[in-house]
Amino acid sequence: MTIFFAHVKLQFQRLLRNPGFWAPTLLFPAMFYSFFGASMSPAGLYSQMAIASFSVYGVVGIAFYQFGVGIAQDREDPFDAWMRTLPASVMSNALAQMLVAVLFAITAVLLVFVASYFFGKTPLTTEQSLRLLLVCALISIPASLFGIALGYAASAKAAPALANLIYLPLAFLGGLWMHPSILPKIIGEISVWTPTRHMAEFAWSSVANVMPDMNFILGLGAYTLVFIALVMWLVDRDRKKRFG
Amino acid sequence: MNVASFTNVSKNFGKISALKNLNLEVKKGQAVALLGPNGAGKSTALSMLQGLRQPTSGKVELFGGTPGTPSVMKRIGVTPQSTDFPPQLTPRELLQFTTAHYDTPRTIDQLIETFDLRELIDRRVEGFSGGERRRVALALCFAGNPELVILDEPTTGLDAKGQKDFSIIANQFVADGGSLILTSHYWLEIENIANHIVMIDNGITVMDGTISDIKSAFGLNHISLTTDKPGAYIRENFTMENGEWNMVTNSSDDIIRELVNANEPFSNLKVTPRDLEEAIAIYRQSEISNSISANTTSKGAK
Repeated sequence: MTIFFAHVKLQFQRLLRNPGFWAPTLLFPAMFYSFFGASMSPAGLYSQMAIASFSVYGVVGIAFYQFGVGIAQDREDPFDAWMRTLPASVMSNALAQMLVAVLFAITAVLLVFVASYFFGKTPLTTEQSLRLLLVCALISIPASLFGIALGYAASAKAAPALANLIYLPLAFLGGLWMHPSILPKIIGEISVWTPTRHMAEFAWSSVANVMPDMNFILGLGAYTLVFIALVMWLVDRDRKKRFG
Repeated sequence: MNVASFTNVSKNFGKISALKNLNLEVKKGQAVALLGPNGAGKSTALSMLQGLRQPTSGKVELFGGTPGTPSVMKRIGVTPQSTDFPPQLTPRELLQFTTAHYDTPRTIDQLIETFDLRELIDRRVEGFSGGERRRVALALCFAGNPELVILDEPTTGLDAKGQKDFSIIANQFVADGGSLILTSHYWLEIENIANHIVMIDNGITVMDGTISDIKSAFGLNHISLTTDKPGAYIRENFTMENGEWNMVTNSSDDIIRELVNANEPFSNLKVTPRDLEEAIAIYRQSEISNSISANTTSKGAK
């Protein structure tokens, strides 16, 4: 446990002293919610769904930038290679990264809640907030896997650009910025196939206190399996390339 | 039991063979310098010892176990070859992180004292010079109180004092029963720290012996003198170069005695010990000559 906590501490020290990382990933979801989500949604359930949308936006952002960009940079970092010579399982560092990512994701979501308290038309009840937090923790699993796959697929230089290229369109297509019902028809049709839409459906259902559509439950499960397979293949490819 | 061993280890990267049947043993208290030109296979060998790469065939062992397993890695220390540490961290934080991995690490105060880190310990590494970063790297290597240290170019970037100080630390470590494996481009450092040399070229071991063995085999001393009237003894035993008569020998006392007995006039007699670099250069030259002569003979035979 001492080793695990040493890795967690190192992760926090590195990330918290890098405002270029934490400022956009932690603050932007709450900021964009305040600018767009809070004002564009009518009072009632739609207003609460906007809180859920921007919470998912925060979770996916952490996955893409902390895992995607972070892993891509670590792979080319000589310090990362040196850490592998320390007497610790590779899992210590991976689990530490995961725990820190979850804590960052929860913080980003809580900041959206705080913003909704000030700017939202209909804030969430405590029960809704807890349900949404739980759902966000759950969807952080496929989101993190997606981010890890990105981190192992791209180089350190390409990863930030690639993350932006995927993250923003997927957020828009998934209905995180505007509810799919007000998106153009063609975008609405594409939306149902995106992983972000699947995640958003879970978040919206949690605030509406209903079960998500079975298609989205199965769809998110399928996406999770695809991301697991992708991560396993990419990690193995990277291991052979760097340490084969 | 060997501290580290390579038994018939080969490593291929696709069609490229980086190591071919490498055999190497490091015993307790031994300081082995692993030498060879760039691309000889040194880094590949070291990365296998660190558990980062696996051999294509053969066996690599550390303390009788498999490199990379935490129980074995607790007994070794590795210098990072690159000193690009996370810029946001201080040496104290890096050392605290590292020592957390070991059962009986050195204390941070001991490491500060040994590696002269007092001025640096709580500053972020982003502003450090190359030499300062190198001192941190060396402290990280010794932080776990290891039995074996793997030093890949350990003093690159250190000034002369820093190199000398590190030689003292490394010698003390070996005198206390530690073992080390070193790669370096500084011959003086190799002579000061290592007591055993293994030379690899094109993935195979081309030389393996103690430093004194190697120097003895290729001449320990260089004798030079000047004379206007070289007699038979000088002409037969010395070679003329740049106005001086020169000779390389393991028995300089006998040569000088014979020179005096031959009663030949000479002046400016100098006896200088040959350094390791020179001995190895001659070894390499003799290897090349042997290879050329073997080729010529085999072509002649055809």
